[in-house]
Amino acid sequence: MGQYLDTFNDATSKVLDQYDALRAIWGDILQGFSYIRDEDVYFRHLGESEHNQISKIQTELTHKYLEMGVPSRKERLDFITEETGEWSQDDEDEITSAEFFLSDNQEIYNQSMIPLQKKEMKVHMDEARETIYKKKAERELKIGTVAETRAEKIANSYYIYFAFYKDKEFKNRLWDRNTFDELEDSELSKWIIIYNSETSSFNLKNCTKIAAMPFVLNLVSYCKDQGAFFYGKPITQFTTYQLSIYTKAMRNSFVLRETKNKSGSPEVNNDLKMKDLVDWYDHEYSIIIAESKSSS
Amino acid sequence: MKKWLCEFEVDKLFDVKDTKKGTDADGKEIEISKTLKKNKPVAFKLQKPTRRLFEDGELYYAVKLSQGIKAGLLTTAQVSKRYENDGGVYTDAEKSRLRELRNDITELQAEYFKLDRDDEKADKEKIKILSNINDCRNEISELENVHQYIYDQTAEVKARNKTILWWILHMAHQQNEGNRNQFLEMFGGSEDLEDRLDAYDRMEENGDDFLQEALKKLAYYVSYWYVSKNVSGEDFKTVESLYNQSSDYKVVEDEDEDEGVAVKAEEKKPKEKSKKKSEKKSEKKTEEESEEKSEDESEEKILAEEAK
Repeated sequence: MGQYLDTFNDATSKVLDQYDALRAIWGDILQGFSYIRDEDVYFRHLGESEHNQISKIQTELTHKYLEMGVPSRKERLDFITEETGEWSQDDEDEITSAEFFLSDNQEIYNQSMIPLQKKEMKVHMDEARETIYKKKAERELKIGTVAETRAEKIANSYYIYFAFYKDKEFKNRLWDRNTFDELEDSELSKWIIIYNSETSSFNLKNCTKIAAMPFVLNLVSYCKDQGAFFYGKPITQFTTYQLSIYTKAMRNSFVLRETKNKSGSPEVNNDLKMKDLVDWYDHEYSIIIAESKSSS
Repeated sequence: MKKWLCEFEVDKLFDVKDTKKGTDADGKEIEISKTLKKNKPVAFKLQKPTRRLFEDGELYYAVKLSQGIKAGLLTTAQVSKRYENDGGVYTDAEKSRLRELRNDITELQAEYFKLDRDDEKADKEKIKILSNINDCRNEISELENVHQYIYDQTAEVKARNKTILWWILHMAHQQNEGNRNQFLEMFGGSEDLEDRLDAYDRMEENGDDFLQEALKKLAYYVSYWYVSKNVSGEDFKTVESLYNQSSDYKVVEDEDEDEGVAVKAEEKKPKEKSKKKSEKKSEKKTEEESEEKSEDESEEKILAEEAK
């Protein structure tokens, strides 16, 4: 679904062209899982509890590895910087400077309307991204295996373990813990690809669009700002995607209530472009906040 | 269910009872039995490592590398840097010769590409040029190899050799002589590495030529796999033939002669013979392994001494 939506250009495509695909994604977010027909498995959308468990695994592994004598990241970084001279402050500065360049210019790039200027900026920003990627890869290669990165890598694989189930009640995981630990790289890679493909539908761009759709805003308007009413469960049990949609929809609902724009929100009709709809909420929100700041 | 990377065999002599019917001096039918030494190769398999085993292997390397550095061993980068500060590892004569050889290769390559004719004379010249380029490259690699020893004592090389032994201890499986379809972990299934190392030591000290050969072959295969990474089934066939060229291990079976008396079987001792360069290189790897193993127990002491 995510890949299908990526084919649309929001500036030129109509809201109604994406409406059903976005509603289908919203359906999965609402029920908290997606069904993967090709594999006949259920992909559970993870929430606070699973993220916490993964953090716990990572912390325990880091501690265990340090106890085993695997060096810490700081230890190795100090060694390659101070003892062998393979890495230096100049190398670090190169990364920092490229990162600053990106953060300083990203907003300008997003707002720039002049194509030539945008094109020129993109070239420089891509160069900065490449520098960051190359220098970081070089640093990691020189640092080698350390407790923290190794633990992080293994802990990350548990997203796969926690996400896949044989049933939609989430009673039977696709693997028990031992079987999962013994999975071969090729098998694990297959599930990582499936995982990434599934999660691509729930990216920030699609969540922003979903939160501006009438099928979400109408429901939000009845929940009296109470997330627990909206999803029927405590906020701590929301999936990450549910929380993301809820916060965005709450903001948009606030905009609908507070806007002074006499023409009201754009009507979802055959002419309305997707970008215009999303931009309208952002624009009105900026005005409301600016006005509230100036009045206080 | 274990998956396997490869399988190989090592010849082994077994006592086989050979019974035949005959007649005694009175013409009575009797059974004559004799025990013969017969070759019955024993199979070995390397287990395809699971993800968990790969992780453990990488962590083991990291620990050993860190221990080496803490004990004062220099890293490859430090050794390179130290030699660079002293003007590099090569003598002036070597530097000059290397420069000459590299220039020669460039000129020969240029000559080769100038020969765009397609006749017999040009073909002969091309072959001559290629042969000259090959000679130059061989001389360059000989000059470079002479200086490889300076990296032999680095923390990385020490850690790598220990990790190869770790992999041998975790991957090697031997055919069960009682049930030849079954393969058992050669050094036991203990989670404790020390137990496996003890098992390895006992085999190494046992003095049995068959076991010595099995350990040597294992070290050869595992070293190749570890250094080369993505090794296919075809690659292991090449490993097998390379190993066979360099190995002198042979078992001699008793001859099965009707009237003959059982000939005492013996295992031919390895003898020195000239080896091709590539074989020598591969063998060096396995020798390093066994050296590393015997060094292992006293490694902490040695490292501490080196640190001083």
